[in-house]
Amino acid sequence: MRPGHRKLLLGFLAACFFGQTALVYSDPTPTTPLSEEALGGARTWHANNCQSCHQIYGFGGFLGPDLTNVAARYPGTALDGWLTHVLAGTGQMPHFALDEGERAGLAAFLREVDTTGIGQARVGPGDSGGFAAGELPWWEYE
Amino acid sequence: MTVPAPAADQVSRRYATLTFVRGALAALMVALAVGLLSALYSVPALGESMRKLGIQFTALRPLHTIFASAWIFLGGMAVVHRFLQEEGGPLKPGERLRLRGQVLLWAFAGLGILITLPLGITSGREYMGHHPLLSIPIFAGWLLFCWNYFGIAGRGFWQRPVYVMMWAVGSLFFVYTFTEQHAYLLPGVFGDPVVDRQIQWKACGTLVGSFNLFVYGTAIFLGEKITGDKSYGQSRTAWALLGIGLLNSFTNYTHHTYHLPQSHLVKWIGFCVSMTELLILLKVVGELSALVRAESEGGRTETAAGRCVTRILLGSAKWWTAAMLVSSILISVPPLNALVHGTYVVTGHAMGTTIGIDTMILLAAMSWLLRERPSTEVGVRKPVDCKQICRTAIGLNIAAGALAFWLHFAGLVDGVTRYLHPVGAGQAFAYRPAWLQASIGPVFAICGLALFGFFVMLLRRWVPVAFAPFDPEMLGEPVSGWPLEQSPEEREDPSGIPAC
Ligand code: HEC
Ligand code: HEM
Repeated sequence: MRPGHRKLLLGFLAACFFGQTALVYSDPTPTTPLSEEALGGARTWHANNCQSCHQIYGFGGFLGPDLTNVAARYPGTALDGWLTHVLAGTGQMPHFALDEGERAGLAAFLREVDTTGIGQARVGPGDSGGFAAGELPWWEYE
Repeated sequence: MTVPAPAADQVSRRYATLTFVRGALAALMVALAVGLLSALYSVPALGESMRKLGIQFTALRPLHTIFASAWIFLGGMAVVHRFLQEEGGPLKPGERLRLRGQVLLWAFAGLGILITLPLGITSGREYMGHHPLLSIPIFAGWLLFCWNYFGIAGRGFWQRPVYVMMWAVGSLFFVYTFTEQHAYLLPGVFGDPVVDRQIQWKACGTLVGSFNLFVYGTAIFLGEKITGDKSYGQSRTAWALLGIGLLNSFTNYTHHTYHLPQSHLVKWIGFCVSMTELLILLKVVGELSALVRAESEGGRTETAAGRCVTRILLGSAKWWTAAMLVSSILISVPPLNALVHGTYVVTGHAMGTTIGIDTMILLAAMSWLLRERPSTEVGVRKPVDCKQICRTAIGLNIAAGALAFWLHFAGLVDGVTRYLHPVGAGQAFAYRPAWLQASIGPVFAICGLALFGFFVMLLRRWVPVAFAPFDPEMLGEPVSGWPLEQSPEEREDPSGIPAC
């Protein structure tokens, strides 16, 4: 391949990369920032490295379940109780000594994450946003 | 078989290559040890005992992924320094200073990560689980490397073989993606979980693209060195592969984001580009059959026989490429993606590619680099490549194959069960069939143990060669796979592959 063609190829690839980057950064899909309480929860989530076992939108480790929409299964304050239960340590989930404020923050974080979309193709029966069997619109997961 | 005596200024460059070989092998050993512990952790009873001992999965997993990536980058970097050994000329004082700086900064970062993560100091991020302050020495080290690399490779850049370009783009990509991985430090990104994930997935895609470029460059450089044929690095196909591979590396991560609320255009592009991977697949399979044909026609030469481990490792990387492209195409087809995403299929794919493709190519490169060490320096002739080691390489592939297969299989079962029996409101988390729940951890651990065992068998031979003290005075015959004083006729084995 001649040097001129190499330059063209690299130029083309660089343009693609910057185009893709621009596309991602200018994504028009509306998103909602976290509330103050949920932001505290996000910090607790990171400080305890919950994502080493859990995923949000499929991102994270796989020892535990995806938690994007766990709040949908525990509406209202039920999630707080459920969190208190699991954070005490279950079969494979270790015990985390978190205070009430941290737990409430985590619950707020998971509740707000739940409102952003569907973390897995099918997380619950219809009402929580899952698809009916045989209906998997491939380009549209939200 | 005597290496031409290198010029005095070559000694430092030779030492640089060796330093990166050592660093790479050390990182691999850490990754393997914590990888094995993480796999054992997935057996509930063992996880329980490990927690009692204070061993936490929250430290193991980031240690594993960080050191696995470090192994890939350092291994690639060792080969880059082997290239600089030939191209660089005398090591200038500034260059030497930057090289030392790079090594010291990275050693500091590596030790820092090894100490802080078990203490629970973490960023809590995927792949970049270390405290962000430790990113500073890593980043600074990369800049120093880029300075040195471009100082040499930049001369006559556009005429150079494709691997020079691959390493160049790989390094720039790394600098970019590493910065992007830290976007979460901006409050606007951290405070918006969707935006955070959009950026994080994009950055991870580029990160994988970056280390792939290091590895592909390594494979082509190695091929050129072994065959002595310099044309491949200049060929149109090699450049086309660079183009398609690169395009893929910054768009095909989107198969992880089909479900993320974001512009459909990004998903469409990702889907279409992913499909071009088929082209690479066809290409790879084509080259593979050509390789096999050439080998059966040409018979085994003495040198080829002495390189059995290099050949086996490189050959297996090709089969892994084919297998993993099938797996990646499956992940890219949206309805299948919906089924398997967020399950162990992703781990199977990630480890399948990093072990099957990247690690196999890098191990082949290590075998080649280690064989170059003068035997006088290593003290005794320690075999790097012999019959038992070749068998180990085959065992390594089988164990890795079993691990990757199990992860794909378990993930697929999880995905199908999750689809057929969704967990309803107020229900507990169990979506996994009981037989899988009972077997997933133990089988993972057993496959992991087997893989670990084969790695140990291999490294037991190589590590003493790599870590034998460097002696700038020692030149001469390279360490070889078999006693050099024996002629092929004297060897008992007609295949020419020596016993260890
Ligand atoms: C060592 C791995 C691990 C870590 C770390 C971990 N978890 Fe878990 N978690 C699990 C597993 C495994 C389960 C499933 C229950 C079981 O099998 O014990 C679970 C279950 C849960 C559930 C219930 C999920 C459901 O679908 O009902 C929640 C909520 C949860 N974890 C939150 C957290 C939070 C918050 C953190 C961080 C503070 C965390 N986990 C850290 C492993 C982990
Ligand atoms: C003894 C051998 C090994 C064992 C037992 C092992 C085990 C594991 C385990 C338990 C995980 C975590 C899975 C999870 O829950 O998310 C993991 C993840 C990972 N491993 Fe390994 N590993 C081994 C070797 C390697 C090697 C050699 C590499 C690459 C050089 C590698 C690359 C990775 C990567 C990239 C991930 C992240 C996968 C993901 O996206 O989830 N592993 N490994």
